Amino acid sequence: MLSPERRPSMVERRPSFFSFQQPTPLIVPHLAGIEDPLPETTPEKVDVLIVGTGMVESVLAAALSWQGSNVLHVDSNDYYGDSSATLTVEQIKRWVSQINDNQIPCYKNAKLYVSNDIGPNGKYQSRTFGIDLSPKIMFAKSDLLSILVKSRVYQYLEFQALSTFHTFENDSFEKLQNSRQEIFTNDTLPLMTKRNLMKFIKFVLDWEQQPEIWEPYKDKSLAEFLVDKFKLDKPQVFELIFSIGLCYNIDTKVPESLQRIRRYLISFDVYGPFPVLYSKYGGAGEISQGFCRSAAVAGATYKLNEKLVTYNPETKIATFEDGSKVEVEEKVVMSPSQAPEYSYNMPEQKYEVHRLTCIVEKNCSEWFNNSESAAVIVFPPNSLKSGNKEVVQAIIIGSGSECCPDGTCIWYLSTTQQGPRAEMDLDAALEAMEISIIRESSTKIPEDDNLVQVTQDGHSIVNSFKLGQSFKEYVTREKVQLLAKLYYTQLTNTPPFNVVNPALFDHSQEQINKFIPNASDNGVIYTAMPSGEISYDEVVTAAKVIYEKIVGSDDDFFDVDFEDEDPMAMGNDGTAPTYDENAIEDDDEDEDVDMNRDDDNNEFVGKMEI
Amino acid sequence: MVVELLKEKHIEYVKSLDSKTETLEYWLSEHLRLNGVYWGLTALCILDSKDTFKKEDVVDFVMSCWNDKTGGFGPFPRHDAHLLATLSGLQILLTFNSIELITKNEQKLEQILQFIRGNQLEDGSFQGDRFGEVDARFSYNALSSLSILGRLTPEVVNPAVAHILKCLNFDGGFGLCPGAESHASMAFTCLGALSIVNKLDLLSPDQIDTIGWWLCERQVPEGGLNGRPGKLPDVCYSWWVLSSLAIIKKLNWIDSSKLSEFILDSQDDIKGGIADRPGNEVDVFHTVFGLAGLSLVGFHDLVKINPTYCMTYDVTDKIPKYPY
Amino acid sequence: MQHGIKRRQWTKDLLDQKREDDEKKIASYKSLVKSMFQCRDNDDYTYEAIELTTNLLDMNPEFNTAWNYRRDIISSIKTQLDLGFWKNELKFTMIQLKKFPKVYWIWNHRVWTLDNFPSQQLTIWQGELTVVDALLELDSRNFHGWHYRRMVISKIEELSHSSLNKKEFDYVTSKINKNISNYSAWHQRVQLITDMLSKDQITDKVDFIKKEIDYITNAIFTDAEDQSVWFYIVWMVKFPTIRALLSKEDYSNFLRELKDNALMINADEVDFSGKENVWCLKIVLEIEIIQRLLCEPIVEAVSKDYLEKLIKLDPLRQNRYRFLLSKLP
Repeated sequence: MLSPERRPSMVERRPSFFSFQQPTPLIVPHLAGIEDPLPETTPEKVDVLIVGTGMVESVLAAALSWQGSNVLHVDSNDYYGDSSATLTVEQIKRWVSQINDNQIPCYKNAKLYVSNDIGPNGKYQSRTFGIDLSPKIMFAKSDLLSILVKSRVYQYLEFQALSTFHTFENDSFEKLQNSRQEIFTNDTLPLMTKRNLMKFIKFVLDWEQQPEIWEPYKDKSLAEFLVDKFKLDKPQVFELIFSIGLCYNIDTKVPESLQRIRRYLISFDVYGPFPVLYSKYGGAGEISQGFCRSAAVAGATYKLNEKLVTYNPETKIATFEDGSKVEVEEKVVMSPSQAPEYSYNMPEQKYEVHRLTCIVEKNCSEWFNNSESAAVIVFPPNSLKSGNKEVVQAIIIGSGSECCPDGTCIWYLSTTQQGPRAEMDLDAALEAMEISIIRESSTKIPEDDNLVQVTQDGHSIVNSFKLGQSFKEYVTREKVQLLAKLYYTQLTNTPPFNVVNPALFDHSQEQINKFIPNASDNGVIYTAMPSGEISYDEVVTAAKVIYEKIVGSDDDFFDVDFEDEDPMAMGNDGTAPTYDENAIEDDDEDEDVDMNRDDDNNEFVGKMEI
Repeated sequence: MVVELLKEKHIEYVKSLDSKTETLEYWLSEHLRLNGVYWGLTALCILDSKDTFKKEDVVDFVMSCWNDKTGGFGPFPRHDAHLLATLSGLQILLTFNSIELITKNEQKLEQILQFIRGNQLEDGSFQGDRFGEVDARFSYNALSSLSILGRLTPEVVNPAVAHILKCLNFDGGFGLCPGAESHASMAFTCLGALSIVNKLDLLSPDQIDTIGWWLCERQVPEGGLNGRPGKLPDVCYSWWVLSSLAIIKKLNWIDSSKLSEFILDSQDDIKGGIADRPGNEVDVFHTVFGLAGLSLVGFHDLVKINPTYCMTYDVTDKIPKYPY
Repeated sequence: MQHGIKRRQWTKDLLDQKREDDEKKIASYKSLVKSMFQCRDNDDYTYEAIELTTNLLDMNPEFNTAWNYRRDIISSIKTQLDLGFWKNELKFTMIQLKKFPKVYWIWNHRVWTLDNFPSQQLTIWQGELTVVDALLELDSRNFHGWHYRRMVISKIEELSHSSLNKKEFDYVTSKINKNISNYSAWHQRVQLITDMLSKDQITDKVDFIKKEIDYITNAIFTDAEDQSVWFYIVWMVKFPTIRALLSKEDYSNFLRELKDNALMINADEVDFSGKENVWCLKIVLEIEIIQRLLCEPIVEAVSKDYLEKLIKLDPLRQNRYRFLLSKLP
């Protein structure tokens, strides 16, 4: 069944490197960039069958295909991305009703409001929105980014910079000040605080080499370490733990949080003065599709609308809902979200990730750095009315990302809080954001000599934006226009983790060996559902663990040797990459190399649009 | 880890340089050929093997670089003359006891003096040739050349010295011209030039101490020396920094045994030669300055080098002292 | 000479391959060189001869004789060359510089071209400032870049009869803010302040110096290990003009506070890591030298103590410390 509408695929936005034909017509296309039409029939025999086209499955499909395996990659949906998909509003409506009909495992409690402004008769068309089911950000120095570069998948994508991280403190947003320059030029920080902060930042960059400093604290929380060893005050401690480290609660232990803080700091100035990137036109949905496209180039076969019904590990035959069958030589890999009926082997998905996604009619530029179109807002524990115990994180994506029309913005809130109080926390965070954006975007900012105003009911109020701190009594008459509001709970067996630990994903062994009579999924390897982690950090590790299971080792994971004359080595227009590595690097006749230069940074970045 | 000085290998390496005519690099480096010959020859002098080069061939080559139109030497036959190449030419001739080919040839002597003096500008500085590039390197080239020829005069020396003193910076380093950032190579050219014309006493003891301070801060924990703060160490600075320290008599302000280790680590233990730093490709430039550095700190039986002229003492002893 | 090229062992196959490739290139290079010398010796000053040098310089931008000949041709046929030619000449050097940013000869030729540019000298040089900005953006310590910047600025000042010191001061401040360890920018800051003070371009000099003291105080608290800042501070402490501008009291306070801050940072370092900060010790030594010169009462002189410490902490330079120790009163 074709959906009434869908988002334009990559190939419709950017010409294929291989296609010299007219742009693909607007039907559900075969996978972007491939000349062979969508196969009429399922192949008879493959090495690996992968079910679900989410991030982990797509990275795996590409890795296996380039390694030489014959891969059949299917998805029961009529779009790519599965649990990582980027969907239109109409597609979201359908998705929500499928969840509520219990047709999609691992999701529950979905609620959706859509205003009449979106739709055929409204101001906005459903298709102009791209809503991520698993919104994520990508650190500039991360395993996913290096694989994107190595595999050249980045050439299908466009990336944008994100440099603004706000912490919600005392009922107002504080912008993160953490670069050496910001610390140096900040007039409000006491001198000793500057020194302590810099000391910590220097330390954390190679903390593993300095056990004498942190080992005495290894079972303590980072908060205690920062106060005790680095004499930092609460604002800095919170900023380091929650905005820079993006930790989930105040109890996060020292080694785990140091790793997370380091990840942020080493990502600075890799591609520019920002630590984080996100992909234009949609997040995980775009990147998954990019890997699928790469897998297809390497020979993988793609089928959408193909639902696995059962797999028999003895005959090695996988059977699909439409009656077609395929013999699988090696392994069947499946996302829990695509599990068929009678899937008794699926690992328990015991962790909840609560997500609240809103489309607002505001451009929210007040929250973005100049020329950027996204930001992250963090609500530390106990900063919300609801008395939240866990952090609420919000990714704000503006219209510059081409995920929503001008004048609108998408807010993705999520929390790792378990149970019903999560929804309360999310609502409280949403309310705080609404108040803040009204306040900050208010055109009625009083003049400097007019900071105090008297409201109609006689209260005097202070304009908090001008003062730089909020005033709780400030009553807004204006309201944020919510165009859509989507709430859902997603389940996963991956805890929001602190370090990329392969053991977290290695739960397949017992599964494979078990044989449960009447189960439809005996011998199937399950992938991990997205966790509450705000970045993509888990994806590559999760895919690698399974890759190793199938291939025997991960030595050749994306060990792809593209020839220099490969057309993909060039930009679309056949010109050399825009980031010229010959760009003037340094200095005098007598040599000199920047001492801080890290050779890893010198990898080919090509035409990355950032 | 190489701990020994591979003398034989270095001699072989220098010897091999001129037989590389089949490589593109050889041809693309014509503009440095005369300098290259001087570097190679001086390396051999330090290793007490001057005879590895055939005197007649080398002297003939030098004279074939003579530019009859302007006077002075070009780096290669038919190339334009330049102060850089002119000094190298004179250094080679002096080393091979053949300086008389110039000093006893009235026409050539007149031409070369005119060429050198003609490149001095009003403010005392020197341009490298008629196209106006000014650099303290050229002041050194000019004064050293005139000194080798025994033809220094107050008319040239005094304004030149005044200009060099203006290159001294607040930090104790020297820049390539007044106002330019301190760079270790400029410490050598400026102090070397002052030393050639016997004018070091124009620097106050305080200034000398500050110069020594900036220079000794060039040593980094690995033992090597860098050219500016915050930069990587490089073998060629063992010469620029060390010779400068020697000229101001503060050679012991750095740790010479750690520096020697760094230079020795930068040797190529297979084909000989010394690189800018351990593990890198060698060249004759770093080979001579590495050896010169080792010679200055009195390494084993290397022939002693004169920090002012960057030639061994047996060669520089022939140069008359200014003021004459 | 070469720098930073990793050593590799050539296999025989690789060597043979390289030799074969080189052979062709050498042949074409040698024939280019031959024709160029022929033309030059025949006093061939034509546009075609310029193109010949272009081809040669593309292969070897270090061939200064070719640059010289090129300039001679241009000078002698100047009247036949239009504006487009001069613009192309700038473009040619720019393309070359992108490939070979460290070749002096290219820089020289660019300067020569700009100097001889037939029209709108001021605009041309102002445009050059954008080029330097971009260059220093890519490498903020580039030696050529800073040297070139000073030259461009002085040309603009000369042509426009105005001083750019204030703008340049803001520029170096922004460079230092980005990276406190940018010694090239600190160096330039010294040049600018010296010049501004001598030309009387600062209205409230005392206020300016006090702000500068705040600035360096912030810098040492942000990064106390970087020698760039410390060299700059030594200059500030010793620069006679600054001493003359401040009242005796202000100057003594400056020294005392700087010393206290250095001692505080050092104590904090010892407390944190058990190691002393050698630059803090070095600066205290410098301050005490001045304090003695000014016959200031030094509450607790630490020079001897610190020099003895430095001999152990900074053994590379121990003989300098022994020398200073011998000079202590």
